[in-house]
Amino acid sequence: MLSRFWYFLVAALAGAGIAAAFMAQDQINRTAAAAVEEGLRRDRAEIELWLRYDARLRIDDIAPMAAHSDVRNALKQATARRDRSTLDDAIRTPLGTRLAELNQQLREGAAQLLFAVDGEGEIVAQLGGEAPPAGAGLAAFPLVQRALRGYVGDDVWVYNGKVYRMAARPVIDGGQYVGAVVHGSEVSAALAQRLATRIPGATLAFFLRDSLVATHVPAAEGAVQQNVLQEGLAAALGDATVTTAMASGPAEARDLPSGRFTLAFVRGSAAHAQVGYAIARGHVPMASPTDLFRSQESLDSVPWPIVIGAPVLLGLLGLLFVFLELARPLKAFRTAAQAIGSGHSQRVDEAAMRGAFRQIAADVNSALERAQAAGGVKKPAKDLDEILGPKDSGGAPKGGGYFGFSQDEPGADAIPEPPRAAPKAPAAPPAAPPAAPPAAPTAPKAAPPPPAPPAAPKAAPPPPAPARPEPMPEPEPRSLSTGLDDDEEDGATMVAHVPKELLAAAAEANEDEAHFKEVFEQFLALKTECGEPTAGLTLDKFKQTLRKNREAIVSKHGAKTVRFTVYKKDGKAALKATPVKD
Amino acid sequence: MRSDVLSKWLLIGILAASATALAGPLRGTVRLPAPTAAEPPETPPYYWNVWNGFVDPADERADARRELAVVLTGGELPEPVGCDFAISGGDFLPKTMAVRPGQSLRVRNGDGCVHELQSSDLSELVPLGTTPGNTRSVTIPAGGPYTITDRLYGHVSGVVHAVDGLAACGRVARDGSFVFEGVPVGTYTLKVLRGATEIHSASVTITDAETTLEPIAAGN
Repeated sequence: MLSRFWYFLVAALAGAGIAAAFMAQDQINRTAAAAVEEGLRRDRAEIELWLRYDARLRIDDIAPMAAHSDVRNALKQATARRDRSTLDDAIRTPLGTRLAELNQQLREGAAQLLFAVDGEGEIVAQLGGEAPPAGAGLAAFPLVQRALRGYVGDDVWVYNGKVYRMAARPVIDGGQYVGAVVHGSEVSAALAQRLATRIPGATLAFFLRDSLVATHVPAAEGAVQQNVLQEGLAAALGDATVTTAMASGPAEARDLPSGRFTLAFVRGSAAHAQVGYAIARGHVPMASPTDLFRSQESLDSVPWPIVIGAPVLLGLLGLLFVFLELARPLKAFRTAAQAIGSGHSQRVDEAAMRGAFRQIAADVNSALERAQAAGGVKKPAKDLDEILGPKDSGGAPKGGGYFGFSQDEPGADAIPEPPRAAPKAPAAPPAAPPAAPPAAPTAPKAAPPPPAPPAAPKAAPPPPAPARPEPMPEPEPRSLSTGLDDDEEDGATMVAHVPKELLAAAAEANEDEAHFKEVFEQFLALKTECGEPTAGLTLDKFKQTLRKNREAIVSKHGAKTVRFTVYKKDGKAALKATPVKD
Repeated sequence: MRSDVLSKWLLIGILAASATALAGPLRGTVRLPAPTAAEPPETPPYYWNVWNGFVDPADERADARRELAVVLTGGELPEPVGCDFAISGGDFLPKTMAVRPGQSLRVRNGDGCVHELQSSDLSELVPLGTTPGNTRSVTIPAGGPYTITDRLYGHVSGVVHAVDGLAACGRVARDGSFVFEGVPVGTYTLKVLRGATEIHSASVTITDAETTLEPIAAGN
């Protein structure tokens, strides 16, 4: 029971292990995806923080420009034009020169696009970009509007195909706002690289619609490549629901063939033009639990002594259970069965049996008891092994067989070998010849004796009843009565008439008996000569065997009788049977 | 180009021939209410918008020059007078425009940057880049008004009206004053348009002498 339970337990453990592997795969994938998503969220927060900080730095950087006297004077003069006439180069040129000098002083923070606008927002001087048309202005740009009203601020613009991070500061002169300085820093690969140092291992890209304008791909293994990110970006921006959602915040993380990415529009008016940034991190979900074995680190983390030892221990425990519950009881039962078979025991010791074998033993004992109650266990018929001598190890009688008959010998017939497990013959002796009729209890001594019935064999042949010796035929009542009549008449003992057939059968039986005895003596002599054991070989057993074989041959060949001869075969005594038909 | 030159000479000839019919300017003023401070958006489109700390912030001013369109309808002029539109200073100038139905709206890019005008109302106006100094034209069908935006700049927005019998567009100043010049004597209908709304309409008569209209109050 325990071993059976153990099988179920092991099967359940195996099933649980497989289920656990798949659940672990799913859990790992979800955890990894969540970790990547969380990483992306933190990356985005880091980028936002840096952009905010950088915007403030640029606003502060241009403070010296806005406060410079040359700038203030130039913008004051420009603003003072009541008729908005064309600006004099005498104002533009020195202002442009001064702005260039001041811009160089910003070093790394130097603008790639720099404007100085008057109080009406008209461009008085510009550095970088294409020269604006006369009278061009920026007054309607929200950033410039706010600056002209006195606020410092930042924005992101798309200006002639390039993306700039903008910062603006009002220019104040004499307590009046006379203009503004507008600083633009281009979004470039250098910026992306600088920002990427804050988010190690992540790919960062700024995009204008579905075009990447600045990208940094880390050298880390598994990093998302630019083309992969661009394809994902195009797919995301092609989805109106995504872009609509992005108007109010970052999009949810999305899958890439080799990772996940998040994207958000920049904080600035350029968001209207779909300017934003995307952050991607490599992540390939496990396709199968076997992927767990790909990672050397994972393999190294496995407690192998436990992983190997536990199954081995469980296996040994299972074998122990099998031994205790099956192998050992089976051995005990087999031993008990052998004891019964050899006659050393009449029943199986149920107390020595365990589990189901105890019930089997009880059943066997019940069967034995029933058999004994029905007349006892019949002893099996002695076969030729017991009659003619011990067998060899192969189960055949030593010497190659009981008889040395060869099928190919002319005139000879093989005597069928009695079955090894012959059905047990009834213990009762064969039916004795019917007794003489009570009317002839005093048969004359001179009269030929009726043929003696054969000695009752211990193992009588199975039915049909042997043909020979035939039971003595019952005397004819008529003849007896005739004899009685004579007795009554003469007062002397009369011998009844014996039929000729009876006399012939008796003579034939006597002849066979003599032949059997003769063969027995020859056979015994030859065995002795060959050095074969003769213990247990008795005349009765021998004759019984010969009778059986004779009857079989007679029945098979329609012969009148059979004659046996003794001969030597392979150094052993053997018998040969020859049917006699006439 | 050649046809433009011919058209100008033809117009000059017509004006010279009818010089005696030209009247004095028509002047007037539209008083716009002070703009109300808009609620700041939940997620403003910037990180910083901080007062400079030295001089009080200037009030936000209404810019009638950019907001309004003051037009005359009626008369027999073959072409509307003074109806020039541009993008200047980063937005339409003016943001409210008017053309005759079936005629082209021509918008010159007076900025230093490319604009990509577009309109969901006007299928012809797809977002193509208009470089500085160039003009974008689109035929305005009857009906409207039609909204035009810029794909690159969210703050750029204008409304164009298809006005039957459009005769002239007045030149509007920041303070709301306007003037019509070169319009023949006659009786017209003065319309004040702001965005998609016609905020005023009245019959006016232009005479030989300068005519000044009563101030027009434009509600919010």
